[in-house]
Parts: sequence; C-alpha cells; structure tokens
Amino acid sequence: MWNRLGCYFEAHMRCWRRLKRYLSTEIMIEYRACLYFCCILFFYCCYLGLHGDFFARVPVLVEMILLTYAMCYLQLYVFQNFDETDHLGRWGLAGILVCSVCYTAASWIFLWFDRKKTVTALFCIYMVMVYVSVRLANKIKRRIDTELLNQMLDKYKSEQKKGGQEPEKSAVS
Amino acid sequence: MKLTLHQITEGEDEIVICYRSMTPRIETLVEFVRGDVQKIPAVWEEQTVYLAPEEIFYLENVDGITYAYLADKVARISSSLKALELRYTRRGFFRCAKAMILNINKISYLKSEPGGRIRATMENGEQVIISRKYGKELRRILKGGEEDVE
Repeated sequence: MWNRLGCYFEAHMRCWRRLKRYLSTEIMIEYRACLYFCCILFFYCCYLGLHGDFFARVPVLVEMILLTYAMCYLQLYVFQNFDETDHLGRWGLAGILVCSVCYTAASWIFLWFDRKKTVTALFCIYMVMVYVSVRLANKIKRRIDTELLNQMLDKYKSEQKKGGQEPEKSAVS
Repeated sequence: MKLTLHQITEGEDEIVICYRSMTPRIETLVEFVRGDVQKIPAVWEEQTVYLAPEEIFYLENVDGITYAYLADKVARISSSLKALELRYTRRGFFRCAKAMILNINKISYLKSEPGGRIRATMENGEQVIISRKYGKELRRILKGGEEDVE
C-alpha cells in the first residue's frame, strides 16, 4: 500500500512540475505578447492620430492582441526565442523577418492601415526595428545584471577572505 | 590575534576564546578544539585523501555517488550532497542544481543568461549553467542574505 502511495505521490509531483513549467512558459509568452501589442498599438494610434481619428476599433485591437499571442508562440517554438538570445544567428534573423512580414501581411488583410502601401511598408520596417530594439534592451539588461553579479561575487569573495561574516551560532557553547 | 597561555596546577583543561566578531579563522579554531573534522575524507585512486573544502571546485552526484572536483583530481566522497551542503554553506558551498554543489569562492566569472539563468565560469575554465530557481538563491547569498529586490 505504501508503494502504491509512493508511486501516486511521485506521479502527482511529476504532473505538478510539468504544470509549473507550462505556466512559466505561458506567462512569459503573455508578457511578451502584451509588449509587442503595445508597440503595434503605438504605431496604430500614431496612424489614426495623423489622420485626425481618435477612436480605435475594438475588432482591430482584438486582432492585434490575438496575432501577437500567436506570433510569440512562433517566436518561442520555431525561431528559438530570438529576442532573448545573445547571438542572432541565421535562424534568429529569419525569425525577425518572418514575424515582421506576418504582422505586415495581417495589417494588409485586416485593413489596419486601410491597405495604404506606404504605411504598410513603414509598419514592416517599424516591426523589424521593434524586434531589434527589444533584443537590444534585453541584452543591455543582461549586461547590467552581469556587472552587478560580478561586483557582488567579488565582494563576497573578499569578505570570505577577510572573514567578516557573522556565523549563525556562537562559538562557545 | 593575541595569544595568552596560562598554565594551571589543578582543574580541567579549558580553552576560552574571547572574540569581537566570529571570523572563519576563529570558527576553524573552535571546530578544531571541538574535534570537528574540517577536511572531507574522500577516495582518490583507491587511496583515502582528506580534502580541504577550499580546494573543491564543485561537487556532483552521479548515479548516487558524490564526486568532488578539484584542480587536478576527481575524488569520490561518501557523504551526501545534502550533508555537505548543510555543513559547508558558510564556506561558500552553494546548491546550484539538483545534483551539484558549487564552491562560490572558485567561481571566476558570472554571466547573466536569457531566461533568468546564470552561467558560472569556474577558475578551471569549466562552465556551469545555474537555473533561474537556483540563481535566485545565488543572488541572495551574494547579497549577504538580504531580500532579493530585483
């Protein structure tokens, strides 16, 4: 009976670990989708504003968020998360181009910019720049984090050498 | 450090240590007086050797056996990772993965990786990837036990 309970517990823990991994990935995709949605929304609002229109259509917004959500899945599972990698290989570059073209195609199909060729072309360039900027921002963030980590490491090692750390218990019992 | 020796004619031998702050040096002295084993017994080339924790780069558990990796050798240790972690946390031993303990003092460089991971380059050139879960603990240790405020 204990063996059966143990197996049940082990299976349950495995499921729980898989669920945590899935949730972690899902949440990351959703954060990223929101980021790209905001970038697209900014371009869209600028387009509307320049045309004297201050009302965004809800179906367009829904299309945008759903598309960014789907594209983030593509980025992660097909193009190896190119916006977070250190080195942008051919596959990452292909990812940037493919995703930008997908967004551009969607903007054309769903009439986000009323099928204006110039605006659509600018949107494509804008999306490429968004990806490059996000990559750069992530890289800078990691570089700063690396510097901080190594500063803390040096401080920790020098404190260990000097012996400046307080123990948790007293030496004399 | 001042050393005062006082010979007595009667009574039990006693060692009194007066300290302002507990340093690893004083702690080592205390452990020695208590008779605690400082060095870790290990097996290397079928010989028993005693390893100083400071010499160990990292410890790894492979198929239930714990191995200590030093600059020039790999020795087998009978203690479990858990026991070694508990004992030598204050000496810089840090659990970086389910089956590995790193000696922080032997890390030469840390690099932040995508996904919240950390790449640790050891003094012997080996690189270890620390996952986000253990990376958080590493940051806490490096900050000196303060709350992680990232």
